[in-house]
Amino acid sequence: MKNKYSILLILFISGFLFSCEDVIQKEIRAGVSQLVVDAFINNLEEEQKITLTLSQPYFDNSKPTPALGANVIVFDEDSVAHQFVDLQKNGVYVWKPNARQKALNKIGKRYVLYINYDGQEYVSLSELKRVPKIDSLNYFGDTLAIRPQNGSQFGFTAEFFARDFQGEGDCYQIRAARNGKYQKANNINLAFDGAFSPGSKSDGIIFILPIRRSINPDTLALLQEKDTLQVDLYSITQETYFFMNLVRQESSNQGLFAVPSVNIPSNVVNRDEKSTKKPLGFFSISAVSRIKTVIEKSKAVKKPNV
Amino acid sequence: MKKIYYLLCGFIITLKINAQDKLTLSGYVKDASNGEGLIGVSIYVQEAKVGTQTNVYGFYSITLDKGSYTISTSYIGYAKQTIKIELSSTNITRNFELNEDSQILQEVVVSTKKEDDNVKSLEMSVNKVDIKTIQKMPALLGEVDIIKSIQFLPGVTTVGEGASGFNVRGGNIDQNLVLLDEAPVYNSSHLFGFFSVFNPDAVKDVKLYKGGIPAQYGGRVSSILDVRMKEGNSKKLEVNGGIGTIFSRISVEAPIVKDKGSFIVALRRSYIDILAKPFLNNELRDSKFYYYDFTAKANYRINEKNNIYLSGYFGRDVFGADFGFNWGNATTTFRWNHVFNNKLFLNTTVFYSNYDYALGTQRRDPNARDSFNWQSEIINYSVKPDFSYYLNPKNTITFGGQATYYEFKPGLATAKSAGEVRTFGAPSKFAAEFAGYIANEQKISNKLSLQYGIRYSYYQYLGKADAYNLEAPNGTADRRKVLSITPFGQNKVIQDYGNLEPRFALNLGLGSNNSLKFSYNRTAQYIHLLSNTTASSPLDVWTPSSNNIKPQIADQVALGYFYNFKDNNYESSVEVYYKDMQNQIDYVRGADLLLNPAVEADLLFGKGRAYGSEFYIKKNKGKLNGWISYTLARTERKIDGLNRGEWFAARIDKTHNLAVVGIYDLNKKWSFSSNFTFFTGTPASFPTNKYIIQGIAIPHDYYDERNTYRISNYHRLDIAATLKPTKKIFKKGQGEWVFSVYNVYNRRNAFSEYVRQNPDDPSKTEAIRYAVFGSVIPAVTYNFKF
Repeated sequence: MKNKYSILLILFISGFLFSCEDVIQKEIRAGVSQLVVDAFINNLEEEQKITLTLSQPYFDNSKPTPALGANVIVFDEDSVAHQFVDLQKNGVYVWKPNARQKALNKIGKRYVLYINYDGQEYVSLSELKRVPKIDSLNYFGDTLAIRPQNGSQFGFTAEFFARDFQGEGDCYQIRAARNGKYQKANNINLAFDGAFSPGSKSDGIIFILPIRRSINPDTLALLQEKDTLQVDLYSITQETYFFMNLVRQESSNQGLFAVPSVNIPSNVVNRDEKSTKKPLGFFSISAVSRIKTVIEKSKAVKKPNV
Repeated sequence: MKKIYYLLCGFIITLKINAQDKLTLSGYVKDASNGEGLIGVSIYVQEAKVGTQTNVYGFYSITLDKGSYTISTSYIGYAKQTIKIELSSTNITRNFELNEDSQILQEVVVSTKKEDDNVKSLEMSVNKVDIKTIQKMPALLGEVDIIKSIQFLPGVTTVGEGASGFNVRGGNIDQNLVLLDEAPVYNSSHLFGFFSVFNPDAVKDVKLYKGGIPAQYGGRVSSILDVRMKEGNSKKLEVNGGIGTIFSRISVEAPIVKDKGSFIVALRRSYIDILAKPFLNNELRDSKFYYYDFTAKANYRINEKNNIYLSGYFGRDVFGADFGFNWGNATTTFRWNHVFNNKLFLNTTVFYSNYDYALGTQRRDPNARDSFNWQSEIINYSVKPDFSYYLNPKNTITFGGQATYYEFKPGLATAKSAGEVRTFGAPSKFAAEFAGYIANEQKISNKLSLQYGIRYSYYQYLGKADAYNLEAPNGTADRRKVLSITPFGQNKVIQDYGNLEPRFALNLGLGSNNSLKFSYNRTAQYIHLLSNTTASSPLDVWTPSSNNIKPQIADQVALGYFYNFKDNNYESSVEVYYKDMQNQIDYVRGADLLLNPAVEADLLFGKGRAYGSEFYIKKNKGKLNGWISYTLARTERKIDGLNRGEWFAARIDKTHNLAVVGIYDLNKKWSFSSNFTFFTGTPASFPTNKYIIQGIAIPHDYYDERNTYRISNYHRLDIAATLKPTKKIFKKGQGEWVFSVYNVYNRRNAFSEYVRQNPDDPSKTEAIRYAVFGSVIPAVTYNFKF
């Protein structure tokens, strides 16, 4: 459904409206480099990473400079400290659940991120929210409206089913991996109470159709026989929802209907309010529900009516 | 309301104390060929050296001492008529029917108005473009477009080509009152903004007030675009039509009863979908993409004293396959012209106007497991009596009022997810707006004339609705907290506002062919279009002033010098203006303007200012005619929470704006036209830095400033040629071919410049120039008339 709509738009915008985009060189002012905190961790029994870098000039496409030598600790609400260590001296601070310290899995409890870097102390707070089970992952035979350049016009469209918890304000992020490869990073799929945004009065609903089907390939393609498909449902705080929503806005803010670009606020603060060294980035902890399947024609369901 | 009442009572009392030793000549002036009322025809009394002009219905009235007079009419493109009148015992009603002047080519007429009107009238900051000129100008894809044409006038701009609406003297698009036969049109665009909703075959007259706004108009702060529809040929059947690149159109005009009443119906529809149908496969077979508009009007003259008019517009854009989107306006206007006596003219307008859109799954299968439907609408009803009292040749008094009731349905959605149905969104809002006004146009001497008036507007935000009590503005660009919600019952007043709006204009004649003009006006606006995108989208929602949203108020002063030369063949003007705007609206970061019941928490407020100078020279007659307009301007906003609370250039700001329009009539067969436009690139913001989160490059402006950069300058040349073959189609009538080329030298003009993540690697970044039209666009149109 989403595909067909976009095809129509493409038809209008390219063939009909003669629009075009050119890459240009733009002289911009220099800013000041700031500490960047990329701390998205979860409750899985896996290695958890927090990446610290420094912001760089906008058109500098080299790898970001890592922020080295920081002290990075995640505390849970019971003051248990989890020390993240930069093993490879590349700014990626890791911690792995072990016999002594299990995964970060205190649902409903708050976690604090503490960073000491370059003489400054930074802190942030997040909460490990509940996540519903994914009840099922189905797929049905489907046809693309137009033949893609690579691959087949025929294949399968998948959808997952899960129900939002009772109680307003549960937020989620959905990520899918086809044959072990996750969707593009800027393909950000979020849910607020099972629908798109706050105010939807969608509390307790089964996730709405566009979200259920957001797990399909992000380019013009369908799933094929023997593909593996993995769906991860992350619980996030409302704060993370609003952050990721702005990231999504700034990732596709172009054309006739662009909105004015904005700076995205961080939830990491310098403990010294008067310090000029303000950090960028975000700290978020999620509980994860996961489901996996291998596409087999014989197991496909009938294409539902819409 | 009481204030208005007293104002009117006081006025009616003054009317009664009138001397009776004078007599009045009055009547209608019409086009002899089709019976259309002619607007702005000059009626001149030679012996008394006084004159007047016909109003928008073609009515005139002039009061003189008893005596015999020579009366002459004057109107560009029409033959002059001179008659003798004896005013001895009774008032005289005399109608004129003017013939088009065969001596001059009708097509060369740029302006249908009194020849020295530019210098002599009180109007300043007003532009009138004749529909015949608009039809001659080169147009995008050959589609004659009123909104695009007025953008060649001084002080009128757009945020970019393809954007909906227009901006007048630094005002936002919602600050223009676009009137079609006195009913407001809320969205003047088809296809997001590429074409305007007015069918040129049904339009008679277009007038834009950028300043010096007369007291009878109100409700928007920046401009009034007054579009008048044709009344229809009252002499004989007339059919006009055409096949263009986008639209095919047809209009039919005919008398209802000859010389007593007539009608016009006009239909346009895009037809690309019909051509495309055979090429669509099964998956796309159900897709829809078309837009159309239907315009109709009828008038009937009951007797000498009473005329009635009924006009309507209905237009719609429809897009979609499984998931569809459609939007459109509808207006209906009923008008009654009543001549009480030779001096007092009344027009009463009653109108209904609506704009709505719907979005959702197309197949309304009740058994569908999932569906989504979303509807939004604004409706208003209004009654508006306008009186003109032609007191004497030196004073013309206008007074009247307006009452409007609004219903806003910002958006309600019904979603069905796996069989479960939820309804959500923003509930309806209601408002009422009242206004009363009185104004006088006074000739103090041959050199000095004045227009002074006052309008009082009063507004109520009504229940049934919830009033949101928000935390105080915190000086940041973040959403405010809702502290409490107070429900109000039906028709309970939640909030009211009243504004006195003085209007003033002055014309000081400096010689026979030049004058100095000055105007001041205050305007108030109670409804606002919430739009945070560069170009306004059809989804944008109108919202009423409330306990949180104050009415927008603008004060504007303008000073101008007007000069005609070469026997009024050329007219020119220089104007400077300053406009101050209060209670301007902006938006928090990540603002959620749709389906959001607490949308007021996502708004920021501040002020605006706009100033500039406009230069205009126009050649009215001859084989070569047209105009050059240049505007030097600035428009800025100061919004609490943005740009650290400092002034910044508005997104629509353009420093230089030049337009050249030329029309050349070679002979009866061929005519040519050309437009050239140049303007400074609009402001833009660029980040200084970036950082990577989860593999995504995020832009960051270390200084947190808005609109400190400019996109590249815009310039474009368009040309057109019209061929009128001598061979007739259908053995009668006439046809013409219009060949046009838009963007002749193929410039990729920037609509916007922005930064983005590289499509292949979202951690890499680049700057992009986006052009809406990246190529030369040729078009052919065939028009016919019989």
